Amino acid sequence: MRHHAVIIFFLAVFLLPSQGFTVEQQFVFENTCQQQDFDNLLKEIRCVTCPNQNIADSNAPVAKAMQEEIFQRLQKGESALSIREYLLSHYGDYIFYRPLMKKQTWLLWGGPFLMFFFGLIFCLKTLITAKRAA
Amino acid sequence: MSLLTLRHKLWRFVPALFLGTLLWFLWKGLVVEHPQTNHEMAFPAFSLGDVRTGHQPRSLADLKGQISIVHIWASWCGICVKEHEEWLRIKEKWPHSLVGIVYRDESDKVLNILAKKGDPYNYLLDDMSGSLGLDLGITGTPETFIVDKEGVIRFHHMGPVTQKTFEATFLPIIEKLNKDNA
Amino acid sequence: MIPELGLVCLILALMMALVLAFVAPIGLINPKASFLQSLARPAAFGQCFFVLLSFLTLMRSFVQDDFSVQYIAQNSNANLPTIYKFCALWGAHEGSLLLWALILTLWTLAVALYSRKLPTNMAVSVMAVLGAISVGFLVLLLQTSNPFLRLLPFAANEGADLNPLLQDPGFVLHPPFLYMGYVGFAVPFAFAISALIFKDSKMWSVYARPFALLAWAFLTLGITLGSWWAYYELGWGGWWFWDPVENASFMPWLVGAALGHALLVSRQDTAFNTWGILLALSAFILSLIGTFLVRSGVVSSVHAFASDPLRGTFILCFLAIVIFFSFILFVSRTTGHSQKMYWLSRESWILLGNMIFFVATCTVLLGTLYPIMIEVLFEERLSVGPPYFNAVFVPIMMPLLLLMALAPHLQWRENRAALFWLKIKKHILVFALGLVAIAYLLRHLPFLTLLGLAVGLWVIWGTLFKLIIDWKNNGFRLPPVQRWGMILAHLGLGIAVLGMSLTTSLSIEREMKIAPGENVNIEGYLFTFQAIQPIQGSNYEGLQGHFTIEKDAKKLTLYPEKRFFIPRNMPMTETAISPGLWRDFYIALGERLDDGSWTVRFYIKPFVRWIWLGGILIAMGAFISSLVCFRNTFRGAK
Repeated sequence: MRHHAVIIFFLAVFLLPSQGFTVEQQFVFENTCQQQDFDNLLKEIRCVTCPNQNIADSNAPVAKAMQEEIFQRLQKGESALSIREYLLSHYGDYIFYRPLMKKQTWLLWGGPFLMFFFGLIFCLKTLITAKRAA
Repeated sequence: MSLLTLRHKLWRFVPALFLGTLLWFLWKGLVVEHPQTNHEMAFPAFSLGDVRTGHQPRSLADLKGQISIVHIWASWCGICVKEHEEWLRIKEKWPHSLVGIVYRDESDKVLNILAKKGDPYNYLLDDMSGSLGLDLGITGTPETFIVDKEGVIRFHHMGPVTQKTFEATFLPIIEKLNKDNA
Repeated sequence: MIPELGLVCLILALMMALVLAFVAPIGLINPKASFLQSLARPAAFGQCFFVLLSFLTLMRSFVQDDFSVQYIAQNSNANLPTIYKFCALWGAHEGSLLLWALILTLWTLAVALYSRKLPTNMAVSVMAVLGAISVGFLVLLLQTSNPFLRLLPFAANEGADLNPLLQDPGFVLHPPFLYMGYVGFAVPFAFAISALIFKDSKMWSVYARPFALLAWAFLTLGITLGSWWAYYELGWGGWWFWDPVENASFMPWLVGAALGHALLVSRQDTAFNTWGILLALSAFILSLIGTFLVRSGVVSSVHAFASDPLRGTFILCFLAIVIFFSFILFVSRTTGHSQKMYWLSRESWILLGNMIFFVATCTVLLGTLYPIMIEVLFEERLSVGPPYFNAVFVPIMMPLLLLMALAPHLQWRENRAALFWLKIKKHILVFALGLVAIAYLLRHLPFLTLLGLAVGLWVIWGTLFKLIIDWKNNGFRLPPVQRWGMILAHLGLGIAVLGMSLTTSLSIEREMKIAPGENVNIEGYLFTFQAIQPIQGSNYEGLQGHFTIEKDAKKLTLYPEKRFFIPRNMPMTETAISPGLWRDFYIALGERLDDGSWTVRFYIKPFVRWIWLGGILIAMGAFISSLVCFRNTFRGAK
């Protein structure tokens, strides 16, 4: 009888699910502003190893290293702008999925709205000439 | 043809121009060589321990003073493990200061490989967090750098290196650096 | 033997295509040789037959594990489940190009079957253009992308296996539907070319419309499937990444939508004719540009096939020839006379809508090609990704969504403003009240979410309102079948837009380190990691996690897996999703850590299914419209 009790005791100790003390969320910030910055940065930065993914979605080691680096820098209080400067100086423009605003990207950012404007003009012209032809 | 119809026809050439430009860009995109970002950069400062036990930690000062080949790799990277033998032979044939950086790896796995296959490295930095890799702007492993006496990176090669590649691309640069110094 | 038969069939198909493209049209030019015209139909049947036979031989070789064929050795494996051996045929460049050619010949066959109901010169010229395109692709196949190349004398013992990401039911459906779509735009393209050659101003649009709608319907379904598949396959809860290859299929879709509307108007208004021709030409040219982008290696993408500059050059030359001929014809032979168009009319609003579709397409094209442009001009590398596209595409499409709810209330030709206002007054009033109520109830949500919600509801309510009006006008009976196309398609878009904006703002993601036996509470739901156990598949081994989700006495179980594919030495995450109309639960295993715990990603994604339900509704609407159009256009023998 006592043998059984001991065996049951040991089995219980080893088979009981452990307490949830080890459950932790990766990359948690206390400051929601920092959390927001972190989430935004992770979605905007390109994984340099992968063909076309952001570092949030990538499993590549360099992407993971970047995630951790950004996390630590934000924790230390560094601004998102300064982190972007850091990455820009070491990797170049292509690391951002949102193209930077400069001379070369003027056409990229302005183009769509310019085209929309010309499209409207075209529609107006068509309607007006159609009226005139009548 | 009246003036109005002429203007109408001229407007039709706008899309043709647009498409011509498009085709030209697609063609150029096919034939262009991807830019080699070989702008020279100073080797970033670091202070890292050696993977091998019993060796002292190193910093940027240790790198300066001679021409070094810095090679970043990892034991979890299959290509790097295959490439290891090439580096052993390269070190034999052309002895230069060969500094290794182990990227986000476990030291016992690295030491295993070194014990089994050989150790060509003068010293082997342990970049556990990967921040030196980020400072160097690596896009993966393996990658190799040629660093001159003043600690300026003169060449950045991405991907594995064979003896042939070394002879063809690395040696000329090293020889030129040697000449400039002499 | 069998693979060689496949190759021979391709050569025979090429000969048929040459007859179709170059011999039959002689009958149109030379009245003395008019009997040659009658070669067109048989040649169309012939090319389809031989490409199909070639396709079947390749399929047979896949199923028989004939690893002496290089393509099969690179993309299949003896242990691959049989269904995926079928699909592996289109798993890489050569085979998918064969699928492209097959689908092109099938569409040509469809035109040939209706050819007796078309005017003769139109029938022959349309089939000839399609034949010419076939010639291009068959030559591409035979010269640069032969799927029947042998590895003799040393056949591989074992295949390299299909990419594990593709070993999934989604892969059975997504490429075929997608190809049916954008290859199908070759048909309206051929009709447009025929119209330009014969200076026909009206009839081409009548006959092209059913084909254009059908192709667009397939493309809608193909893109919806792709988005849904990426969502559950890639493990990140995303459903659209503005990847260059995704954009390559989206651009023809946008132009195809505009084309469907333009062809509707073309019957009434010849100004639209020029516009319709332009759209028909553009849709197929965009399909070709897409084919080029995907297979040439100029853009980097997760989807891109292995690049080969020779293939890229070939496709580019073909593209250049197509563009050159299309535009010579377009510039020299369109007239541009327009009839009276009233400002407040269905035509003018459709014109505006088409303009927006076209500008949106150009925007996507600009963003996709910009990295190439910068690299060519400045030798710099640049990335253009989702932040750009979302910032630019959404504002441009907004006016379209606003217009489309009201446009169905407009009549053709003139509308009196007062009467129009009377019609839509109730709609706007009810909407405004509803919006205020919802905005108040959900005032804690961010502004952009509410905006997306408002726009989606605007479109849905606008379409339902139109349905109610039609129902009333029809004596309280359901409207006739032709109405349903528009209603379902517009409704589908509204639902999809609603889903997109809600899921983007309301999704919750947590990445946790968790061990078996532990649990975590996310937004009131208790996620428990029950256990992890090993599993085995025919060509993989792995681990399967057992998770439960509980709230208020309701319980769900999910089994995400981590698979390791032996032939390719590649790990893969198999996500576990509990789908729901109002929300999805989504769990993906990350990595196992040294202490036995795992990194696991938990997602709660509200309304994400609405995106694909919307897509399916759009496709249904398009299929209905297309079938009605086929019936109406080709009713009665010629």
